[in-house]
Amino acid sequence: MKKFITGNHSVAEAVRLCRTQIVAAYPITPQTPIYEKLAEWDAKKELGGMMMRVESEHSAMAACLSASLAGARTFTATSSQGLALMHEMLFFAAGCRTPVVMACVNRTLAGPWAFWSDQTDTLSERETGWIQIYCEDNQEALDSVIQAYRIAEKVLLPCMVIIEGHFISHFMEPVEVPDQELVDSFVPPVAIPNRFDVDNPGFAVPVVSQKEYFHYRQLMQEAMDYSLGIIAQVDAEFRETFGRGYSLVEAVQMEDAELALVTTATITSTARVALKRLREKGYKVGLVKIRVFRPFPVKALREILDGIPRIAVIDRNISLGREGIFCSELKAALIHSPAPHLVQGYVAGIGGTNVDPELIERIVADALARKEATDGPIIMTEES
Amino acid sequence: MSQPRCIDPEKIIPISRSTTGVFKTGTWGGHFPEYREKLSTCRGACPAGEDIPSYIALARDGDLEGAFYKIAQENPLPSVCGRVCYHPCEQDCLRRDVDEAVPIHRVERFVGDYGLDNLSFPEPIKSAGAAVAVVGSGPAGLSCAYHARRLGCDVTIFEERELLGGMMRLGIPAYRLPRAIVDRSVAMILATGIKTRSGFRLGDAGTWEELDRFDAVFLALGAQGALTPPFPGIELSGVIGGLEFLKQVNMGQRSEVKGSVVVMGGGNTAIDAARVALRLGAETTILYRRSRQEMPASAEEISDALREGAALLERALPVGVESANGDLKITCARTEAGNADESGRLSYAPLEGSEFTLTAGTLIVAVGQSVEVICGGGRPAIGPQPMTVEPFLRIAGQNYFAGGDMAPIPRRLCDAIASGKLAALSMSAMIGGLDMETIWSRVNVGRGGAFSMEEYLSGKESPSPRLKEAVTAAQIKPEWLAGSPRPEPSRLSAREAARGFDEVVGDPSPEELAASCGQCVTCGSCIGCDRCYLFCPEIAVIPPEEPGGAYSGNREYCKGCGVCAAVCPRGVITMGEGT
Repeated sequence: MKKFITGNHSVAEAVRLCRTQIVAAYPITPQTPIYEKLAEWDAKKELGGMMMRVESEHSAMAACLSASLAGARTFTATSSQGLALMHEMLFFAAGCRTPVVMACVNRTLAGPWAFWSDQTDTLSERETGWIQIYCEDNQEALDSVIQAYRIAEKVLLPCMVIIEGHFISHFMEPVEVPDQELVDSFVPPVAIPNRFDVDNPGFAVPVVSQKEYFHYRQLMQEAMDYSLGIIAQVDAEFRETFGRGYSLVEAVQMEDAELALVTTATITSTARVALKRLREKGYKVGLVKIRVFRPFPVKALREILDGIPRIAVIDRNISLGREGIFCSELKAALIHSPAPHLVQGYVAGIGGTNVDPELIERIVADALARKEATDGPIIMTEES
Repeated sequence: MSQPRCIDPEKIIPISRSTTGVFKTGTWGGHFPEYREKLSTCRGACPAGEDIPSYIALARDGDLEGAFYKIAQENPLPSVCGRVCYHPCEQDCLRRDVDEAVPIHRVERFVGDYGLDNLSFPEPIKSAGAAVAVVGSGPAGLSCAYHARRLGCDVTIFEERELLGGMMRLGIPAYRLPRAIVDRSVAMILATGIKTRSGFRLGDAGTWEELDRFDAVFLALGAQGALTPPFPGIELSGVIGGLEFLKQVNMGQRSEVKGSVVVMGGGNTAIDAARVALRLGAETTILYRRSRQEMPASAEEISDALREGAALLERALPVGVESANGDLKITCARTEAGNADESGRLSYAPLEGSEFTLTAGTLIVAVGQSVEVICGGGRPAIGPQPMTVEPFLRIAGQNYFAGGDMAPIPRRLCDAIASGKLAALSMSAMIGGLDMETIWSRVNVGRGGAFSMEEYLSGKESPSPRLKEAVTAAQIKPEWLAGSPRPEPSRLSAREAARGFDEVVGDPSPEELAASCGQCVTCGSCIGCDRCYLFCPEIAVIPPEEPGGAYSGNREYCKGCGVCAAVCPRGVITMGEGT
């Protein structure tokens, strides 16, 4: 059924459709409407699962990972400061190999205090062992949550589904909300390992030796690698079932491209408009959307980009003292390309500022004209 | 396709089934928990040393038989104590720090009545080959007889009156202690094989010679002489002693009282006399020379008396009585507080010029009792002061022992029962040539004068820690206690109560029993709740193999974090120093 709903509402719809058993979350703008929508259904006894009140995001994640250790399907959502507060528990959730699913709504980190879209909050959690999926629109948000449960419960790693504050969280779009039966056919009944067996009590995840720790980290790395195939496979099955799919990386008009514009999340939508205009003007530009950031889809990116001489990466985030994080990651991924690329990083849209088609066109123009790339990012704002 | 190892649930996380793993966290700690049961404060406050937490736990689990026999280890009169003991146990209940004391006396009453209805005391299993005499059949005498019988003695109770029970029958009115309860309690004790001889009044040489034939004699004659304040008119016919008045009514010799009644005094005898006078239809006024808060009577009894219609005049006392037109003209004076007396209470003296007059038909004087003087005939001189006894109640150099109200102990039912038990042990030790000091150090409860007969009869060499160091308020965890309100007993309305001698306070219902037992946290005693075991982050607490056993610690892994002590609601686990 088509519904005209926000991205937050889309996420909530998916959480309910997946028959999530435990929702433990704490309100924070701009994520709060997800929590409110689930609470509203809970109050009307339409949620199916259990809402658990907690006093912080740290506790929310502690509750989710514990419930997950007990074999429950869990969900939480947060943003910005809440995610930062959760940081410690994110490692724990991953280290305990719990398939917790979390929606993260990108928001600036204080200070100064602000409420707008900025990916630095979630990208700061890239080392925690969580799968990260960045969504472009409301439909993808809903679909990615459904996929996330399949992926996480298969590879036993937690999964973040990331949407941008306001641009997705609060903007309304027509969204296809699938039937429960269809979702049930896609997301199997919960079969998460239950670590709490009263008849065989034990200590889950105790202190280990140096070697053992290394061993478990190695297994997590293997699971991350393994999950690349699972994410692709789940997406392919999703496409068969629902008629929509997203891939790890999406390539648009890359067949004859001399320059690849690399984007993520909502800037991709704008870039699609800019790309149309640029093509009309005769520029041989293609678009590459990175959807999955952890694990980083090196092989998929190289298959698209190995032969492309020029690459412009737009980041709505910044690793202060270096550059946009997707740019850094991409450069590292392409280090073994047969021929070197000119990879230029652009930082735009920080603090939730607007990135319009004109700005993207200026970026492309700059990238095409450039003799060599700068080491640091070029800062692009609407006025410049 | 086989699963890669990186997603194999059995391989991806460490799970330890025995310990917390590779780190011997025991090396980290400087403090380690100590598992030691402690004395519950209620038991520490009970002169009879009843194992209160244990019998409440048994009653809670539905084992009323077990609960009854648990009480009977220390006290054969639970139905009586459940009704009329002023329950010092509840005064010391640690639950008072949270809300209100556990209503222990209600549990005792329920369990005691269950025993009267369904059970009997076991026959003694051994014979000590000794014969003891008990003179007086009040609570002290009955308690002594019962325990001496348990210790294997051949026991004979000597009593002046036809019916046994002493003050339980003579002094305490039936609306507080129904006579059927006294009858059945006495019968149950006698059924253990105790002989009785009634019509025995100690005095002439023959009676002393009769007692001399026994290996040991326990004197528990009570304190039945009235103290009389020295004011003019005390000898007039309308003036009567409080205990004498109660005896006359309780023995059926009096069913009316003349005119309105003034009761002088603030103790339980005064309150009993006032409530009995009310029941005989008299308008009743209590005069007390101090304030209501300073009255030694139970606060509950005082408020019951006032509810039933008695008036209370505080800080006033009679100073003279005259006969006038067949009535008594009582001259009273207001009092003013002076310095503290020996008991620490303020003394009150008549205030000059404050005199006023009350007219009454009867003046009941209830200002205290003395021991009745009995001719000694060379034997211990008795009365009016309390007998001089050694710490274990023996009269120095003789085979005579003394307890109850005639001994220098508080004149309370529970203390009388306790003294009877102590005398039984003390006599048995004397007869058997045992050292009481040695026995005492093993069996005494806390730091008070109580001891455990159960512990003595167990024959164990090292005393149970549940008798010694008392648990403190700081050691129990009130946050784990359920916050249910203390159940209120049913009672007759004041109007119904004042109409006759029916028991005022109703029987506890099974629901009240459950609620009352449910309030007890069993402080000081381990009930095997497993909380320490479940909360220990290092799996270093080792639960007992058998229920009722002690928990121990795995020193290799116990890092001394104190979580076990923090979650032990009963104060059994506390943190100690060093290794």
